[in-house]
Amino acid sequence: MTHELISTTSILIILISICSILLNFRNLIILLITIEIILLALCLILSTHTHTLLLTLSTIIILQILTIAAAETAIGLSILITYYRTRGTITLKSLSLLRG
Amino acid sequence: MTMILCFNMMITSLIMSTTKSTMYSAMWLMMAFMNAALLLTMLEMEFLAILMMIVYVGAIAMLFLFAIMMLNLDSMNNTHENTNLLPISMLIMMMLTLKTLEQTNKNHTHTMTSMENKNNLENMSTHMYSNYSSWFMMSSMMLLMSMMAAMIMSNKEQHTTIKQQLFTQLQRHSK
Repeated sequence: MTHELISTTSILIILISICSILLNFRNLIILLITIEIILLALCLILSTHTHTLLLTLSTIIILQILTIAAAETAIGLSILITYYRTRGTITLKSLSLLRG
Repeated sequence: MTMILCFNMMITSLIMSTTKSTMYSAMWLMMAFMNAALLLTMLEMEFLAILMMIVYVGAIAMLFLFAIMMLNLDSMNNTHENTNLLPISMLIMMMLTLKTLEQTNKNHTHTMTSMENKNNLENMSTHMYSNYSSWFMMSSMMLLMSMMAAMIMSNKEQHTTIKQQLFTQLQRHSK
């Protein structure tokens, strides 16, 4: 019962976060934060897999996902800060130099 | 207890995407990470729970807070822009929900079991250091690379320093 509960909440959190990415009209930082939430829900699904199927590979994959999330957050934030330095705002409307 | 934690996690992720202030979104992110760590403790994976608290809340959420402090953001920035993308985004959301709901009543079978009577840390370390040691080294290389990239990108360009130009200094007809 707990495993199905945790996996359904994780799937719902992933769907809600993708919805909030698509309906985000404020900042670029909210985008990075919701990507972190998506990766966290992925880690929860893999941990329920480890607990039900007695599979150790899922735990190792969770470690790799953690390192990838940390590296991606660091590089994404530094890109964001250099973008802010050259452009002055981080609204999503200012990303339309190619008229997209 | 898991019901409370799952409910909390959904509520924090909903609040996080709908608050007007960016600093509060980072705070709710921290709350979501704490709830996920408690859920992992309920699943008997205590090492991953503590690791998540240290890495995610201790490092990544602090990074978000410092980045938000450095940027000069307007908190009342809720203008309705980019609404011409709304039909495509609704289409993507519908397709995603349909594809996830397809998988509810299927039997996914796996055949590889390799877990003995050990705790979480011993399980991971017996695999990480022997069979998947190359994955371990690759993840450390990736962290090093991201650290170097963040340090290089955050440097402001110095226009007042004088650097050595060996080839032009040692030429015979240098100007």
